[in-house]
Amino acid sequence: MSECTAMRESMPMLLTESLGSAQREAAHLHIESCAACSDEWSGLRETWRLLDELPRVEVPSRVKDRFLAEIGTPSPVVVPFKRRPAAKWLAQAAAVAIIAGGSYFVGHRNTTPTVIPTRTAVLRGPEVTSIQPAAYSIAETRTLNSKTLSPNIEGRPNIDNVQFVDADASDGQISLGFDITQHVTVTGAPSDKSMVRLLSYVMQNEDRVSPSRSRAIDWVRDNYAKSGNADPEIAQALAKVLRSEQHEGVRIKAADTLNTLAPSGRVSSELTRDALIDALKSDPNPAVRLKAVEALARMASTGQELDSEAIDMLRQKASQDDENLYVRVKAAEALSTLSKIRPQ
Amino acid sequence: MRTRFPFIIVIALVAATAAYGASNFGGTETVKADLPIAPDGSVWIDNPYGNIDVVGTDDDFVTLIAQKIVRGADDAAVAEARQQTQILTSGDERVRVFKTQLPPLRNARWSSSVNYVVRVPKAILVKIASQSADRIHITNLTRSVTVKNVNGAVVLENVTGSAVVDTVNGNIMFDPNGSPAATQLTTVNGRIDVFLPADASFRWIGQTIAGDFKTNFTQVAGRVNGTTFRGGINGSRGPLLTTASMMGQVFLLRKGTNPREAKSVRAFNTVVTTNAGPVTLARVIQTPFIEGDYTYQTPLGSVSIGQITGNAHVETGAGELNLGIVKGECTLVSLGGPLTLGDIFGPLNVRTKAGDVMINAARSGGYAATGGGMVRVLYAGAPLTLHSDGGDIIVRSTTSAVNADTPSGDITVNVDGSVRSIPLDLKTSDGNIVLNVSGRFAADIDAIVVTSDADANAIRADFGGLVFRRDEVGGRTRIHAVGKVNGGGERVTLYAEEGDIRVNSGAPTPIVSPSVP
Repeated sequence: MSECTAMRESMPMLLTESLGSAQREAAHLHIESCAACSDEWSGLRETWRLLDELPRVEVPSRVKDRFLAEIGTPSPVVVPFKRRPAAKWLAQAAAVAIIAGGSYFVGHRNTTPTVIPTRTAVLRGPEVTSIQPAAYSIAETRTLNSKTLSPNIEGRPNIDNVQFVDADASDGQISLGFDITQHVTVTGAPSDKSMVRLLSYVMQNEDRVSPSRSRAIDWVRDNYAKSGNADPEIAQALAKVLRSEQHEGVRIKAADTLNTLAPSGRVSSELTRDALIDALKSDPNPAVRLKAVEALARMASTGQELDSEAIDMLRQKASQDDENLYVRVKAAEALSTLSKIRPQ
Repeated sequence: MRTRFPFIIVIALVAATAAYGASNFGGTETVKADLPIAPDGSVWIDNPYGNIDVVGTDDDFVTLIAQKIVRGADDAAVAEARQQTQILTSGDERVRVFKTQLPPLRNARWSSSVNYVVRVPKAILVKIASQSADRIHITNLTRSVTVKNVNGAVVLENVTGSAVVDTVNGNIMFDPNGSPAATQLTTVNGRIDVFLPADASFRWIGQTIAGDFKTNFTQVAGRVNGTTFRGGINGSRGPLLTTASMMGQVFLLRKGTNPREAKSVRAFNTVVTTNAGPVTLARVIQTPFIEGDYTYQTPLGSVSIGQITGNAHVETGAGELNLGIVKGECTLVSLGGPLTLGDIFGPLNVRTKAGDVMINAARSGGYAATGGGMVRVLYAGAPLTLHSDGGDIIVRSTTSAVNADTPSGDITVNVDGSVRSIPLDLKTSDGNIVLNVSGRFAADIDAIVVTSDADANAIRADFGGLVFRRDEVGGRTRIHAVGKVNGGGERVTLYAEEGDIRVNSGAPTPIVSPSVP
């Protein structure tokens, strides 16, 4: 019983989402298992809901007058307005004239002229009995080729229920399905600009929950590691995820995927490198820093230029006493690869 | 015919070599200048690619000799290389700056480098920046020297002023030809050799994570704590010598002696060792077979062992641990690095602060955790607890209880088809849970999804008998599914935030949590 009492005391906080996650779950579990508390909770929620829905009631005039009299408010000086009979008649006549004139004008403008046929057609074929399907339906699923789509995504549309499909791994085509105003499946080559933009948008869409981004990153790793599919926009999107994502699991995936992507241009390399340096410098999770070091080492080993900032960051990490020792060793190993690939 | 065949090969080789030689063009160009400088002035040299020699003299002017070396695929490439590799001189009598100017993006058809020989008054300051060189050689200076480079050896001889050297991959050799002034020598992957008179007295701070501090001085005192040595030579008085080589060795030698006589400072009775690993830090332990128990601890090292017939207990400050078969208990601790395990017969207790954990078979279950990375188990034969501070958790097949949690990542668990009922407790604070079971799997399921997007996330189950309940609290939706499947069994608790929960049994039509409360 004491548990029920404590639970009922915490219900207002539960209602306003003020409890911690553990307490919240404990409260919900108790409510679901205790009939009395479940009733209390339902009643409380109903009361809360009704408070929002109750109409605003006007104060009766006699109550208001008595209240004003008691607080001593001087009654306002009001001079009543009296219409003159002639003015009232004129106003009514003018209103009738305006309504009649307006109606005539509108009706005259929208009337379709009747065309008299010169010859009457006679139907001689079989009578049509079946109902033709409508041109579209509300629950329609559309499949579009990415080449027919504009690569520009206007505004920031809400994309939900994102699905990735590769029905035939050998045909070089991938499909991206999602709900927008209806379910749409876009099919095309990974290198199509529209497909690239869509994937980049899904990965960067901060308004939506991160599992979509996580799946999108997995998908990108599977489909864009080949050099033929490399695109700088994909690298930019991953770099942005690495910088801004709050969940470390997604950041680890982003850094790991950047490590697997084939080089795709100088600007892309610079953006990727800057994002990796930022992650190495300030990411709180050692696994993200580790992935960043590995990605920088791979950039160096594949001949991409590491500027002095990247080298200094790796050097700093290799020497930093309070850095994870494995990250330090990996940074030192990354630097040692520079001696093998830099031109003399 | 037999006698002519080698002759033809020789002719072909000669022709190919000649053609290759003819296809590479090159040339040199030398610049020489004498410039006045103040007695207390300074010289700055910025040369990305090429050797640098600085020699102190008794003159009162600077002599610059710069040799530009260009190579190209053809005459046009050589001409472009000569044009785009510029030797610039600037500054005044206080500061003289010599700089090699290269374009930010170079044509791959040519390369260039510049070798500098600079003769300076020996009492001036010298600062050098370099990317890659065979060597940077500085000699006969009495004031401060600063060198920063990436690749190439740095040699300081007869430099009696303070010296600061910071290199990435280069070895450092320092011989002040007397007692040193305050000196700081740092390399990441190189080796450091310091030659000093036998009677020199100074303080010494050394750091390394993969190397060692060695000396053939006889009077060494101090303390080794982990990766750092703090002490002194011949009484620990005088200037401070700081040497830091992350991955290489540090040698402090009496001038004129054999470096092979040097021994680790840990070998001296006057050096106290605390919290340190073995004298020689092995980078990789590779052994195919170990009979009996195996225990190993190292501040830095990777371990790869094929089979251990007893218990395994390995701890490393950083490194990759890879064990094939362990017949007994397996306890691994890594402060950073991936763990890869094969067939583990005894209980597991493995954890790393960063890196993936891959286990082929955990036959007696146990505990595996990572501070960041994926945890993947192919087979679990006994209760197993898995944790990641960020990353997916995957159990390909289990016949026993699994307890898994991650703050960010998906959890996938496949229950072996022969199992009727096992307890499961899976929790992710940002991700999906996928539980694959057989059609006859029995459980008391308690599944919760908390999401800010109720249209996107749901609980999907291939079983009937679940009661769904939906609450809208504080802008988020809480979907709760409770019920007994196949008559009820062990408790299966699933909790996912911002993701789906799917319980699959291969049934054709899954039951999905209703979208309307």
